[in-house]
Amino acid sequence: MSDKSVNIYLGIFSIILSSIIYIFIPSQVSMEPIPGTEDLVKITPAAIPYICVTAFIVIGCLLIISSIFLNEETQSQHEYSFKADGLVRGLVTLLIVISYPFLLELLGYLLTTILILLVLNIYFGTRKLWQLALGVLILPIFITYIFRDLMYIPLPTGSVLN
Amino acid sequence: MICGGIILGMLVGSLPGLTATMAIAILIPLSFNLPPLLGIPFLVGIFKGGLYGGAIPAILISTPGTGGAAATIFDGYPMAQQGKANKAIRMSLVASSVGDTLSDMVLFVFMVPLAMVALFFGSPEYFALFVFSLVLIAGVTGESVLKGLLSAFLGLIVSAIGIDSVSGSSRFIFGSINLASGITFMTMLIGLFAISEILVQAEGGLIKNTKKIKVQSESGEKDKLSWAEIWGVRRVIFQSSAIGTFIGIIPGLGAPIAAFLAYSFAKRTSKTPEAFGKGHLEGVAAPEAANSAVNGANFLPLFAFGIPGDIITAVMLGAFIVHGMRPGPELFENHAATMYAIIWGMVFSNFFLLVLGWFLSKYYAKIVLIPKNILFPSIIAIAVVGSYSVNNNLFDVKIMIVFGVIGFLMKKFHVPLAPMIITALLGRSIENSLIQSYIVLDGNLLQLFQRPISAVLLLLAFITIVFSFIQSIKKRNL
Repeated sequence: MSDKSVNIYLGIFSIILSSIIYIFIPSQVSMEPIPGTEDLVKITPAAIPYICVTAFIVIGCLLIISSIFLNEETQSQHEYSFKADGLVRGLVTLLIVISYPFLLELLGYLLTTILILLVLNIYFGTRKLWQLALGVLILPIFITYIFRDLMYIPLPTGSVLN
Repeated sequence: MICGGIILGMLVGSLPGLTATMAIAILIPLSFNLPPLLGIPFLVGIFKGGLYGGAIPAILISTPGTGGAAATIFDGYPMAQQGKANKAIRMSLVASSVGDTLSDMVLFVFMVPLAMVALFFGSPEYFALFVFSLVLIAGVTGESVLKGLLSAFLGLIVSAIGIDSVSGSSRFIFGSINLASGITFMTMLIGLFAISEILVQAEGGLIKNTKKIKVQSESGEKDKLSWAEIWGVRRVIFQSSAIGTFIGIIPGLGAPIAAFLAYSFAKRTSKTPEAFGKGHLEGVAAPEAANSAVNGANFLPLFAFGIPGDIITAVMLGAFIVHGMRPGPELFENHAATMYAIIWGMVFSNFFLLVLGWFLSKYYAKIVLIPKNILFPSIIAIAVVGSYSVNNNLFDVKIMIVFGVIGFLMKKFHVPLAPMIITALLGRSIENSLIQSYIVLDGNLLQLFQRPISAVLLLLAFITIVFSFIQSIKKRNL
């Protein structure tokens, strides 16, 4: 991917984000004037969101316009690579991470962490037994000891075990 | 506590892919139960140890542990290749400690006078200062001014989520009680740094990259750093420290710029410029003194005005707030004794860093070899428990993952994280100063240009943004 394409994508994203915020402002932000400004030109809690909406539109348009001045042959300063296999790896990792808080609600911290670390370690290529033991068993027990027993932070216990 | 922080920080800094910022973000919860006098120095120790630790992989495997250590590769790695890895690591340690100490002394001398100046700032001046700082950070951080501004406004809209402190009305909470108090800063940080990095590493092929790297080093006289060699680079260390301190005071520039600037200045003023790039001690000392000297000076605008100069001071600002201390001019009125103790702690931590680093660096050199496939799953476990422990709420863990994805996309598209983090943290203060200025100036914000300080700051902001645009156009990268 070239700088030109990246600027176009970011420009489109900026304009879409601006539109989404603009659509939600009336239902999500109060339009009552902020106390102390009633006698002036009214300023409401929506001021900052509207400033952001305007900024995102301007930035989005400038990004798209700037891409006109960047031709495809221009040497990119960065590498913007999204390879299919890399994206799959990233997505699988993300799915495992997303499942973490949901499993925490069910199984509690210790069991969930052991399970998630086991899956991730195997997925990331750990095969040696001592490495698995170190990464999957010792670390969660150590973290549980530090946070629950030393710092008295109640970690999730899980609805299934309760 | 400082020593514990330094040891942990060096551990994290030595691991390529992990940064001092990430270390502080995920380890802040460890300081929750400590009083500020212990908790903050612990985090300062992590910060200093982490930044120094970045030099170790830069020297050994040509992979900087932190952005500031990138210039250390030029001469540090050739030294390691020549069997002088230990000498290069110790030179970087001495330079870092001296640079950081000098910078901390500048902080110690100037913070109170600057904070007293800040007391004379009204809302309009503060608003202008926020605008100037944000423009500077958005314009200078990264290579594209538009991406910097996009990142800054993303942070501003994130800061708007939750109950508005001025009017008491809610914004963008979509009926969720969990969002009423806004996005928890620490949760956002852990997501942006830890989770995004794990996704980047996974996407980049972490699974296949498990081969071991051999560190070429040997014992013997030529790998020992002598006092004469340290004395021989004193000029480079002092001049680089001065460069780093100056760069550190200006928000947005940061350690990498200081390190490269100091390196090129040292090369230009050296009697043996031809030796640079081939394993020259001056080439290791210059960037390390400069990138460490940025640290203390970076705290100057944070302590005096409450404005962080870069990502790491933004994270430290979050840590101060967690401990009930809001940086700014009132900090010295309300917490003077604690603040002086913290700053002396910062100065002494450089000495501890020197001693600990001198004896432990050879062990940390081995940490570079820990395979990523073991390291990164462990970080997920620490990140989850860290974000959960902020409010004892699983909702924060979910928010952390959302910010992890946002951080991943920002990293892939090279949108800088610093402006977003700083505006997310300062967004409410910016809004409050805007509203107060609006009331003070009777609804006419053009009066900002009639007050000398705010006028100068806004003019500087305008010049900065125009200059940044011109630079971007020249580089053909808006």
